[in-house]
Amino acid sequence: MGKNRPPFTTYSLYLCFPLPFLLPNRVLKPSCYKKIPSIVTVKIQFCPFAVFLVCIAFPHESSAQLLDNDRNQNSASIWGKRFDPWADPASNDYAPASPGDSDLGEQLVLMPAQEYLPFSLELTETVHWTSNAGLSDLDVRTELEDIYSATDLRFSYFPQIGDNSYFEFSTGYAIYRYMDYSSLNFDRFETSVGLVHNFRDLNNLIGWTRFNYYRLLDSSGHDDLFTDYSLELGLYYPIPLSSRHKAFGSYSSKFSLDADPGSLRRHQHWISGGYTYTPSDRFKISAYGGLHVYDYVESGRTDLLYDLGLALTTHLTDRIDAVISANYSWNDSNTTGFDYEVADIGAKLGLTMKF
Amino acid sequence: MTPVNMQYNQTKILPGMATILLMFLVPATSYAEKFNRAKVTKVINDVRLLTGTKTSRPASKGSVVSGKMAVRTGLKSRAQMDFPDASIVRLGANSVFSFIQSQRDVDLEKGTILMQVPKSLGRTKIRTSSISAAITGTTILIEYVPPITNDAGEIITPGTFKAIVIEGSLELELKNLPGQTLILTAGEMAAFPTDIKVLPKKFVIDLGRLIKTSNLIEGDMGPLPNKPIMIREVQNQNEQKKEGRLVEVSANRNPENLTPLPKDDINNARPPNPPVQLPERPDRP
Repeated sequence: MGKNRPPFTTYSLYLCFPLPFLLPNRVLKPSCYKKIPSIVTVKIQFCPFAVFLVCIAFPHESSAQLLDNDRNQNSASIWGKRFDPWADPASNDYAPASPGDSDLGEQLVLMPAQEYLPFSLELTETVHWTSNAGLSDLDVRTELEDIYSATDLRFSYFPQIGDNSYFEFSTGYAIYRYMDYSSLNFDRFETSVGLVHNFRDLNNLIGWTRFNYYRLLDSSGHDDLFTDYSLELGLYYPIPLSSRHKAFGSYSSKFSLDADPGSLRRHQHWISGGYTYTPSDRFKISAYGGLHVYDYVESGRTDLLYDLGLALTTHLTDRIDAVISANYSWNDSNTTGFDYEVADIGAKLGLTMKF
Repeated sequence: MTPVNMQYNQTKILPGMATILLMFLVPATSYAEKFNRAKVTKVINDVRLLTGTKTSRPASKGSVVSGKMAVRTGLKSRAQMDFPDASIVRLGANSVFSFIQSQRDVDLEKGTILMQVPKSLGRTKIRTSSISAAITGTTILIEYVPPITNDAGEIITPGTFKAIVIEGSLELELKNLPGQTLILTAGEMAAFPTDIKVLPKKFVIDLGRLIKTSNLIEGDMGPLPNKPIMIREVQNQNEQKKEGRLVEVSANRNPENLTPLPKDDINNARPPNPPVQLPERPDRP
């Protein structure tokens, strides 16, 4: 096996989802006022699954309810029996309203700015069930159901080098181990260096360019399975919808400069969209959809990998996050034998230290 | 047996201690005396002096409030009272205020009050039925809304309390949390229902915005004597805002206004994209 296994770098393509509400006035600039299309229909191969994901992902709140919720943060009703003023006193723009406010004056809440720490060290442990560990072809139907673990240690340095520009250095090592099919075990090492710029005048668009070094090794950690040098360009467009709702769109291209073995050298293009609902400071629900295009340089093979995902993240402490996620992908290749589908369900525990 | 030199010391010490004690007692008494009468210096709309349980008369500029009298303001009404010790009390609409005899304390039955006490005076307390606020040389705002009760005297809706310190400091004591105090300093505020079971948290508010929009500080009530000190506190806060150390809540929510940009957003842009990530794996065996 070994060197016959090409790398399988996964990039998510994100589909659109319904975002049925107006944007609240305190969160967005007037220029951002707009109505999000009430529904976007995506034709996919497995509609029932996608519908299931979307149904679970989206909060069942109407636009009116969302607006009311925001307004109620500052209304007199907040003084009622359900009022818990100290759960998060600075979570509202203003102190709770009261009859004497005109005499007291406006009580606009201020809070300490989030402290920025450029270094981070992240350790994550993932355990997933996969329906198709070997990514077997649809026609062959020899899917290898398995459970695998991934231990990932990553160090990042992300200092600010200008008003809206950042230098980025990141390096990480990950160990993937399969419970039954240990022949699939592999390690991964990657390093990237780049620049990130935030275009604040363009609705906070983020652009970046990176040089990536990517290396897959066998489970001994000594023999290379695949190495790749690439140049990456990307854009990320955050869309804050309210204090608890956020959407984003993203595009990136990764151009392979050199790879070993050369037959697996490929350019990658990735387009995605996502949506995040944060019902409280501790919980976050995310839905993603994306399309990856893998363009193999030597063989002329082109793969379209569709990806859908759903995740529930909880912040156990300031440094520890737990994630439960479900992911479904299917690959459509112009070369016979490379079509496959795979589902993953699992959990991740992550420790992040910033300094 | 007491040594001779010790007896000598006691005879010297006792009169000295008595003198020091008198030095503390005499000013305190005179401060209290200066605090149980005040002159009404500003009247806007309906302001009345309550002279008994059922009698009241309109207050006018120059009226003297003392003893067991109380001051009541009506809808959209305000009043200012100046004390002999240069303390100032301003009452907002629908408020009832009175003195507590023989003490340097005042009672706020309901409504809003601005109190400015010069430094170096004694400790002053603003009391409500459930909370008291002690101040020494400060400018503060307090609002108290009493609880709503039914005919049987049961509380239907708890009362609410707000305290804001513009300059100086304030110490809050809650009757249902004996022994616990919350200290607020310039720019800090506390707001809570009066039946709260834990000591409330405090937070910072925009002093400049408050002062500009407060009927008790600006507008037709005229400037307060210690306006320069208040302006200094506003400037201090503005400096912190300018340096990015203090921001509005919405700014912390909206990454657009964050400086620098949170790395999490950049991470979101990275493929692979956590938390949903199809793990990388070699192709088929």
